Amino acid sequence: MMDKQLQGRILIVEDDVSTRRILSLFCSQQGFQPLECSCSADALRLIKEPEVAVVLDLGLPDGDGVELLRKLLQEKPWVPCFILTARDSARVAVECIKAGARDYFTKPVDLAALFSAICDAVKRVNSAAPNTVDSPLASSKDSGWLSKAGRESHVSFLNATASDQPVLMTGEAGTGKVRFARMIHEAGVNAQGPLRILRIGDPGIGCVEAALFGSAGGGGENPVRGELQRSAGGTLVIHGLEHLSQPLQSKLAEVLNSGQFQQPGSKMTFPVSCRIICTASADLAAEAAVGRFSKKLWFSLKPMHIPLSPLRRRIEDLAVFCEQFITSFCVAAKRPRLFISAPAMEVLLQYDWPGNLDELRHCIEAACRNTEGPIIGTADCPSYLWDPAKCGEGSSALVVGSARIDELERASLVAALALCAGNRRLVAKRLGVSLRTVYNMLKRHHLAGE
Amino acid sequence: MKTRPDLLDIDQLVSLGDLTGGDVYQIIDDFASCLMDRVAGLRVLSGERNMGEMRMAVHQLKGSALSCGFLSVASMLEQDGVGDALDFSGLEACAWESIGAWKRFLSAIRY
Repeated sequence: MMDKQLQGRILIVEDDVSTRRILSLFCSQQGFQPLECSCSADALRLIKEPEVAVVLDLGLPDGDGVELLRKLLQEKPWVPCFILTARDSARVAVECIKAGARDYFTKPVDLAALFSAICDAVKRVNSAAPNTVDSPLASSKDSGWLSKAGRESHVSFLNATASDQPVLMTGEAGTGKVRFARMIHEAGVNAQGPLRILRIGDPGIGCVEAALFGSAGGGGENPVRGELQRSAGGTLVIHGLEHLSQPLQSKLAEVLNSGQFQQPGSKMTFPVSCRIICTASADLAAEAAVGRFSKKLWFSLKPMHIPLSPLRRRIEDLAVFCEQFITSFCVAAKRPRLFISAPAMEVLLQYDWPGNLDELRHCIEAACRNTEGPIIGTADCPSYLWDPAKCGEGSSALVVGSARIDELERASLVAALALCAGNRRLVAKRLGVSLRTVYNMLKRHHLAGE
Repeated sequence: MKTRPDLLDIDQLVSLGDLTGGDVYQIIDDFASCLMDRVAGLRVLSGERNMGEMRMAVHQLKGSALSCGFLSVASMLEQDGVGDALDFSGLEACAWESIGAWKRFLSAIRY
């Protein structure tokens, strides 16, 4: 007999008739009622119907599937959406997951896996009392991030893409500054142009001034173009700004203020025709205050300063990052979808990630390689994450018996928030406390905004 | 059963369910029946230089071919892209061979 909890409508948005018929047939066989349509306009009309899940093909004739996904989730954030795509693209898959899709499947679709995922999601949604304001997307304010820091960086990202002002990003090593710069470039006005990255302090670049501004050459006969010219029409990322010498800092400040520059050894002036994004690991405000960094350059960049928080201060977003890294790995390696077990996720949440996103990505990739089944277990993760004897210096994974009670409480709360996608009711159930206690704990640990 | 392994994705076909009759058989057979018409339609769109429609039709045909296990047709559309780059003669030949393979496969499983 069919599980009553599973019965309900599934909206199938697929323009290709054969795939739609196959999906519809499987839907019926699994006890669901299929609701078929072949375009975005019909999907937006049909989403008003009471369905339990959406299966969405990305390539629709009347619009972008990712955009449709966002609109569907805006209408009904609690409905699990599953993406179908013939495009073997990690970027599109990551974009969908970030937009709120529950999972993605590349064609030819493994129907057993798809319907197993749908059944799981429907059960979970039904047991989590949908329509509450605590649904994951509602709490993330459509940015996909659960932490306050994540949401703030999302707002900064939107502001940065809306203009071509110079941007400064600061944050610890591994916080994803270059990745963020790439995202700004790809979503910004200069997306069609090149993206070039100049790593200050990299021994390979030789003379930084020549690499940045180019040189006039001997007698002006063999001019060499610098990165500012090579990036024309696109974006130049100057990575490691704190390593730039003081004279060059002043020169860069002049360039940002005047919008033009001169090559060393030449009196010719060239316009700056690219967007400049600078990154730094140091606290440039503090460095400028004590005279170790050019105040002029600091004040030129300060208006569009995006501080990126270390992962330990936005640990609520860890599950989202894991999802992205797993998706990228599986698509690149052409492997079936992998999932993280709850104990493994708790291990990841207990660690303080001194290497930030870079360290997390390497750990996730190692775990994906180590796992043999579809579920990543604790033992698949690098052993220093879960074996206290192998924790190196600088790691401060909480060990029961040596951590303070409030530290353990905070860690449990953060872990539960991530596992329950921010849903306070589920967090309360998981921790075995009342909803009021959860709110009190959130307030006490300064997580109330999360 | 004599069918070139790269023409049909047998695993995909088998995973869909009972192919000897009923709904799944009907879906795949309908796809096979109209495959040549769809390829001819692509040739018309290409002749008209209607690249927007062409891209969409290629996308849909590729999706159908993948779902129905017509691996070789899907691969040709994947590799060749759209417009002038598409080798229509090669695609038509591949579609014919795949339809033949589907019919041979049906005979084999029904026998």
